[in-house]
Amino acid sequence: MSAREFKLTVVTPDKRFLWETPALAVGAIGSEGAFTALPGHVPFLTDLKAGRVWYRDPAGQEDSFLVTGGFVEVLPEEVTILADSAERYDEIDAERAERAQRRAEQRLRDAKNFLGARPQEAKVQVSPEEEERLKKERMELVRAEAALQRATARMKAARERSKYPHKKK
Amino acid sequence: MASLKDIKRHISAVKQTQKLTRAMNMVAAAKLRATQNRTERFRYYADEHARLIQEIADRSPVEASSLLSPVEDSQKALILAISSDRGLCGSFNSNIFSTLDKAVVRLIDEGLEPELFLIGRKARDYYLRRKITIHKAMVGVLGEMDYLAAQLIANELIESYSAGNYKEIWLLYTRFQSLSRLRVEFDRFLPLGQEESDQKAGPSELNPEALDYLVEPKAEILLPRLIPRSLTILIYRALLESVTSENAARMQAMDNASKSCKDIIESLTMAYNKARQAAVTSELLDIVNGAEALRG
Repeated sequence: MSAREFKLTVVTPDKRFLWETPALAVGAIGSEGAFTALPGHVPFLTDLKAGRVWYRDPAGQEDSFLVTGGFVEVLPEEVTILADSAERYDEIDAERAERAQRRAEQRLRDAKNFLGARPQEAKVQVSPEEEERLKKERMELVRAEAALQRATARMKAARERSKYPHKKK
Repeated sequence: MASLKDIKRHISAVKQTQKLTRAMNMVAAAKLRATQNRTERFRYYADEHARLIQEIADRSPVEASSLLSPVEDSQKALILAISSDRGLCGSFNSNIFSTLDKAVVRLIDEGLEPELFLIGRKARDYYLRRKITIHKAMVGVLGEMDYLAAQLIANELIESYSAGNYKEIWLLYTRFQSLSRLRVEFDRFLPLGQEESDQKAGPSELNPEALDYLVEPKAEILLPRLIPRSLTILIYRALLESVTSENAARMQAMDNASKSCKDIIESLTMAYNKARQAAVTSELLDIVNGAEALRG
């Protein structure tokens, strides 16, 4: 029994981006590389990198959108993407992404400077406040890195917008 | 019978209360709208996550993650219960307490030692006076709870579970179904996977499909990324549902209070009018009697 169509579902924390949309093929960039799944695929689970996700609808039309990380579960007859966020290609604001990128870079530099200025001797004696501050900066570093990745993915998507087919809303 | 002045004072006092309850009703309604929207949109995502980890828990070998297998050497169970920080929300909190009381008794009957992790001032105040170990109580966080707060709580729970402190961790919260339907939910948080009632079988017998599931990167890498995240989402969802329910409960309670105020005002006004009428009648009688006497 091999299905000829997928049901594609894309959900994010604040919306149902796609809900059981019929699709003939789905492709995305997993942490181990890009993949394409066709109906009847063996059950498959991976995490997603920020980047393009595309699918082909039953009429043969392709549509692309951008996700910023998440997980995907492929089953023979359905594909579920749990995305951190999802955006249509024509909704991406390149200028905003660029500003966000610069901001993230600045934050990243600040956090790195702060942590870099405290070499190993900090380990010897750290007051509780200092400890708290270090923890905060380390969190900040991780967050800034994630923000930078998101911004970069958005800018890339904005540049490649014309290259990939996407439906206008 | 109360004097006219007394009744008048009583009426104006009730009117003040009514103003208050009306205002609180409106505040709760506004807050409800904001959180309800967020909760309902988050549900789809949370549901898919819950389904996914359940599936993984059922299909993966128990060794894949320490969070899938029960810790055998601990006899303690932790219950994370979410109540509210403020009162005046009807039976919202007492529903939680009665479910929690029952759950505690049940866990003790099963031979476990329950401990509580309480969120919200009301739960802390209630359980401080009872004979039960409170592992931790968080007060005043509900107003500004966000994903990060859920993450901190989830991490703490996962850590103490992984350290073998608890055999089971449960989650108790109020689920918002509709304005008039708030349901208290009591779910097992950890370990993931089958409920105890299922027969215990070896992992290979249990999941004939386990080998069919392709996981990339390896399960040992992916599951530690996915599971804590899904657990955080469970907590966040419970927090959102609970805050939404609290506002719904408060809105209802304040609506009822406003109605009661209206009823009281009506009956007091009736009493006031009767008293006034009686006073007028007796005054008239006095005058008429006086006039009759003079003519006498």
